[in-house]
Amino acid sequence: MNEPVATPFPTTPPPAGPAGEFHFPAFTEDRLANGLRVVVCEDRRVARVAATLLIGTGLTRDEQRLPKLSAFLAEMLKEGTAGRSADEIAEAVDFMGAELETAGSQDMVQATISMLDEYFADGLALLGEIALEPALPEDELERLRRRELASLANKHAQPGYLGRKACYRALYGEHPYAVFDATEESLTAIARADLAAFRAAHFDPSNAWLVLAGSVSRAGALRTAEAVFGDWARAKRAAPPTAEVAPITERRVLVVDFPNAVQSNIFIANHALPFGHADFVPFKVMNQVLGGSFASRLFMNLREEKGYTYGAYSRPDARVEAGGLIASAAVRNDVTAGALKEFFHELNRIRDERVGEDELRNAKAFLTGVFPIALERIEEVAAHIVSLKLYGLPDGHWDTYRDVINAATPEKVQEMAQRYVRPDESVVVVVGRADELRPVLEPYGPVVVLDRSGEPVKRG
Amino acid sequence: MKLEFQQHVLENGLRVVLSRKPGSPCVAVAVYYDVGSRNETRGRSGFAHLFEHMMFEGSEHVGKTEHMKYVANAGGSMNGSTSEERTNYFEALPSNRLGLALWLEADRMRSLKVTQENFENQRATVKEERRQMIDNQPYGPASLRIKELALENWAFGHSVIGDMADLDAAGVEDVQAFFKLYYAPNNAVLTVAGDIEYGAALDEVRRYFGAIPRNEPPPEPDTTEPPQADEKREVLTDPLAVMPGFWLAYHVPPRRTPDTYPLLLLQRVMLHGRSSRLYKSLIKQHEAAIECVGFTEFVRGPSLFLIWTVSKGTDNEVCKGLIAEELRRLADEGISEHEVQKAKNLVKAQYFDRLQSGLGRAMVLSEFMLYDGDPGLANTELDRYLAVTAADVQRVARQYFGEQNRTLVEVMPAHAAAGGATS
Repeated sequence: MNEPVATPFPTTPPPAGPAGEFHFPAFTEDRLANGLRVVVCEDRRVARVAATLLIGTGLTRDEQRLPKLSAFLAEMLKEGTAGRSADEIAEAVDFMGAELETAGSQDMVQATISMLDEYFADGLALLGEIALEPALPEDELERLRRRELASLANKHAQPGYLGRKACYRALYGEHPYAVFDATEESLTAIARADLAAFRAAHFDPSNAWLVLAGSVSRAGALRTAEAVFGDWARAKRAAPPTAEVAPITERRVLVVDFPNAVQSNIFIANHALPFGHADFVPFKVMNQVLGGSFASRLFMNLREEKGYTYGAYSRPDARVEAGGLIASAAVRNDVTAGALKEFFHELNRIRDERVGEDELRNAKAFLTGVFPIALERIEEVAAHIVSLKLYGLPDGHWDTYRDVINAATPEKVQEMAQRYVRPDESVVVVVGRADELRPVLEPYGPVVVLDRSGEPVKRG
Repeated sequence: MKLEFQQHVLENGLRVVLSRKPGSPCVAVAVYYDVGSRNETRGRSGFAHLFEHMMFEGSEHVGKTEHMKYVANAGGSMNGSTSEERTNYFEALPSNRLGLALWLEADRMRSLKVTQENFENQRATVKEERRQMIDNQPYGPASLRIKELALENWAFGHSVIGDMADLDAAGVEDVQAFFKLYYAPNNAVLTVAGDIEYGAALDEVRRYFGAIPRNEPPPEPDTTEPPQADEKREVLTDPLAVMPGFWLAYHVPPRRTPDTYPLLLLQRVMLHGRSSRLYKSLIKQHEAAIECVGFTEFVRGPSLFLIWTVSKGTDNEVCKGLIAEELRRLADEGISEHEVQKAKNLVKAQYFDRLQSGLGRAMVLSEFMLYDGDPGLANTELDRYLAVTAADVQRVARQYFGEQNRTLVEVMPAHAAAGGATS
């Protein structure tokens, strides 16, 4: 028998062919008479439309007085309008097979609906109705208050939640960004008048954007937008207050006591930069080398070499006015010391040593490559446009995004690391068994033990 | 909105699906092996998933951790996952790197390399995964116990993540044996979806996969399940939970049998969205629960309809009563045409949402190819949901939700934890 002539299996992967063309989908911006900016991105790759109403609130003192007031208001928008009850809104959303999501933070309130294109007009009308005519009914408010209070109690059993909460509080201090979630006090105190006042102060068409992406034309979208939002009256907005994030001058070490923990949840955070900062894209390149993905240094070291964890990453927490860098992992109790050592080793190494050409090329290839893949989803296209408006970036930002990534040099990456990775001026939070963690953490600074509510525990 | 596709079978038995969609310069590759936790043997629970981790640890031409780096450095993302009935591996990349993904998948299909050191590393990683997802989470252990108790069939009833003792007992020699048994081209489906040319893509698939030898077909898993005669119940104490909760499981027929279509619509009517019957009853009207969610797991074997609830208050009695009442109301009074239409609209919207990305399309096509032998179901299966009537939904409501068909696992918080634990 003749053996078939087999081509041997290639020992190396094939080289890349010519790269396909990709441009961020084009979009237009028009302004209605009341000042609302309507951004339309006609993208017919899928028969869907995603619509987001973004209201830039700016920092408000309300958030410090009543943590997560904006998020509570965002949730209440779905709980009834002048013309529809909460149940009728839910029924309408589900009947369209749509997703309706609202969110509120220290920087914005937004509502997003995404649906099959056949429901575009109905979906946009519903979005307008909940934003412009919310009834904020007392009975639904009380119900939501009870639901949120119960859910808050449950969240305090989740170690990751407790760690993030302590981390934000320590990182941002007196700044409004320190608020990670509502508190029992704020949930108990929020009154209808607070919600109405917040809405009256911030829901102003001249400070809002309607972003539409998907199977929709500019003319059709504008017509529908005018019909739904054209009568939205201007509000008198006071200039939002500004606040400075107080610098962290020495490392702070916090333990959140969780006596039944079988893992330690580690967070190491420092001040970095806001999303709209000119350094943000090169900073992202640096972070990709450090801990942005499964191929980055933290994952390779703590998981693939040491087997300490299921995953270790670092990620930016970038807001309108400030931002942080947070490295984290959940590791088994008995390797907490080793994991901390490796975290600090990597955080220092990226500052002290210039990144190699290969490693930099790889980080750039990752960030530029995954960009068009994420944008296969129309909801992602809309979210990227919303981010331009929220963070005050130029319309061409995503067009040149990949060029800016590719322009980063090893010198630039080190400069980013030295500026924005600051292990000596960081907050270290570990959720786990305090009695075991204290000696492990003492080498990193004086240890403060917190209880689950985030308050310091007295020793003795 | 129809998916365009081609299907081929290579001489070694590898089933290949290609699906072209220009518009984004991206491509997704998915390899589905017909092996999951249902193929494991007693004493080796969790092994299919542990094995999945080993597939990222090196093959003849790809060193440890290089798989992840190759993909990331080409501008792609990747992962793998294990379920009861399949293990999948997938990449999404720029379309000019299709060859890389195929080369990587072919190299590990033909020549997995295993060392003791890599095995120990991944065993440790999987144990951390279990701790992070199950043991250090409130209600984690109960989420595994419900299937274990509901199903007499060990193959489907034991957890995908596995028991710690079984993970510890596994040896590096088990990895090669498992590879030989299950990781052959004739036990796999390969799907490529995205900005491709059919001829060139098929040539590349043949170049990398064509010479991998076929193997003996692996043994069939046990898919039998005796009919349940009486309700099963168990109560677990959970040191991390702060509120009581419970799982309900009902036996339902396997994948793509006539009743699965009305059962899925029933699940949407009862449990999807804020207009669903259980949300409105338990969370809105009676404020008895803070969470009530449902899952239908229609597999090629004993399948379950699952409901998970976290109760407000000190026990689960009110919530259990309300769920029983809603199920009874559906069985007795049926459901309006409007409500059936709503469920269909939801199914349709979710179905098309999944097809937006190349990876979503690759997964849908792979599943229909592997489980049902027909990727064309991606274009026709929706019609079977759209053909369901209100009477069908009422009929399955009557048939499957009786007490004797039910398993209940309750979770009670161990409040004694306040004093602290010793180790």
